[in-house]
Amino acid sequence: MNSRLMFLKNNKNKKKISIILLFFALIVFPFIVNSTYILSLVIEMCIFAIFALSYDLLLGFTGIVSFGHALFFGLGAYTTGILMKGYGWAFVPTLLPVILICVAFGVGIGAVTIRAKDTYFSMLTLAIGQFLWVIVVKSRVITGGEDGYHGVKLLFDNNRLAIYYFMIVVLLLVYIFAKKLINSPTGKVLQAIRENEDRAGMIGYNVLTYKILVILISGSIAGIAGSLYAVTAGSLTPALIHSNTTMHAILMTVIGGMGTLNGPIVGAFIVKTAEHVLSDITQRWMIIFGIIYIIIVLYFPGGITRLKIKSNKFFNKILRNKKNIECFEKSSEEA
Amino acid sequence: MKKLLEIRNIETYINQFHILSGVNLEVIEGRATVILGRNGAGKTTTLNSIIGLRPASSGKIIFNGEDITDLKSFQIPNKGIGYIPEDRDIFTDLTIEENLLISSRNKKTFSERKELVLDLFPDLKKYWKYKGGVLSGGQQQMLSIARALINDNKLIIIDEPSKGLAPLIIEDLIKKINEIKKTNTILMVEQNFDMATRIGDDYYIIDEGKTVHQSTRDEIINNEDIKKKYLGI
Repeated sequence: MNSRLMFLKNNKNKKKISIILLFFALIVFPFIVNSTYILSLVIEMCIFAIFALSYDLLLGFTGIVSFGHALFFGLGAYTTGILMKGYGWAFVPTLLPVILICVAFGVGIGAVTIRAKDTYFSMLTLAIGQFLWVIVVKSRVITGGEDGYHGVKLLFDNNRLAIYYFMIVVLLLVYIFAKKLINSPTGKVLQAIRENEDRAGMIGYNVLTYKILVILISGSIAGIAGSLYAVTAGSLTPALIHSNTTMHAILMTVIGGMGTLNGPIVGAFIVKTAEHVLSDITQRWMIIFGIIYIIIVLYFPGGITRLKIKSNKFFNKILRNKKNIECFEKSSEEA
Repeated sequence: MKKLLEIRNIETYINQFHILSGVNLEVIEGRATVILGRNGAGKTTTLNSIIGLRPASSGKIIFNGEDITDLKSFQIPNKGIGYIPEDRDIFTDLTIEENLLISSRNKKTFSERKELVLDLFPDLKKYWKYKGGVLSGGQQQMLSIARALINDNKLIIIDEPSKGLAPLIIEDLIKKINEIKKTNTILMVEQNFDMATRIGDDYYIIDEGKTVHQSTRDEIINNEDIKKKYLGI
């Protein structure tokens, strides 16, 4: 066979080529669309992709259903906003207090809620998230209350092209970090906890410690996403902490595919695109989106990215690429 | 003969239900001890109390001279107890390799122990990179046992290994457990009397949450009254 064809048929090479093409597409994208509106939309997508990715570590990889995850997003946004506007800090140094605050809240929330099982845990996280929302609404002097907190200095003097590239890089870094985490022994323990908490304990892992660890890691990532939101939007409202923001993360994770890492990114892009496209068509776009969500949950519970995997398998079968399956069946019969 | 595990009159509750009301047993080092009894007699609860999943409310559990009654379930494996649950409970989304890796307490000895385990269960070598979920019931049972053997445990606890397996696979399993018995102390719960008597050295019968009978293999095989009264055979 032609050596060039052989190179393309190799799965690893295919992956490399896809990554290079994607990278190239992302670089040239702003010059092709040449629209500040679309660039702003993509920037927002990247921020919510990071937020959804942090939620996937909780829900998809550890099986923790939290309805209060937006509190970390809000904490990050308000901490960065207040430090920059109120105390004249630059953006990057604010990330340290953001992470520290999110870790402190993560440990605190974890210690209080983690012993509660399933629904009770979810309800407790909802209550804590809403409690913080009330505090933000009522603390007018510090947060601006319901009127919001405005005038946060924008990143790169609001140069959307520079912000776009910056967001792509941050999203990539967060993705690599998350990928390394889930492939590490710690990540495997988290997946074991998701599958069977008792069993993970029985092989010697302190499940509570691991759960608190993942809450504070995902909380810190959500906090960073919130910080990025503050310096790209410039205005903050208590809605960022509200459970509706958590619902957005859940939607993105479920639609894209839980426990995949790629899924929440794809989900964030779908949800944000749908939000903008559908809201142009009708004011009641949430109804249409709700129907789409129900269809996905009912018929594609693995999410959009797993649909891709399924269709790949289907085509592989058609192309008689069943070597692995046949080999497995043969050895099973022998066994 | 050293007593590796000693259970002294334990009582265990599950919610408001008084499940164990006086279980006593001893596991001698180097021997296989089998717990027999009808469904709902308290056999699995006894094992769960040993591994800390259903802590005993009174009584003592002494392992290797140390009181482990009040230890948390995640602390017990570190004492040298490997547990093979009745439903296998392998991690279906992880590969065989990952299942064994996360079960290993000493990463330095992993490769050495892995070779030992794979010699015993060559099937696992074949499917090394496959996820646990695609394995057959028998292979999942092998993986479940392999996870306990990947550590140098002093005691291996096995809960109903024959549950849900075909007779041919049970035969193979008996051979494997007898292999394990040569180097490990075993405490096993088993309903299949034939399998139990082909593995065990010492026998205990639990009925209505209490130890009601203790004997050796020959005694239990030949005692028709006991078999009829407590095991219904």
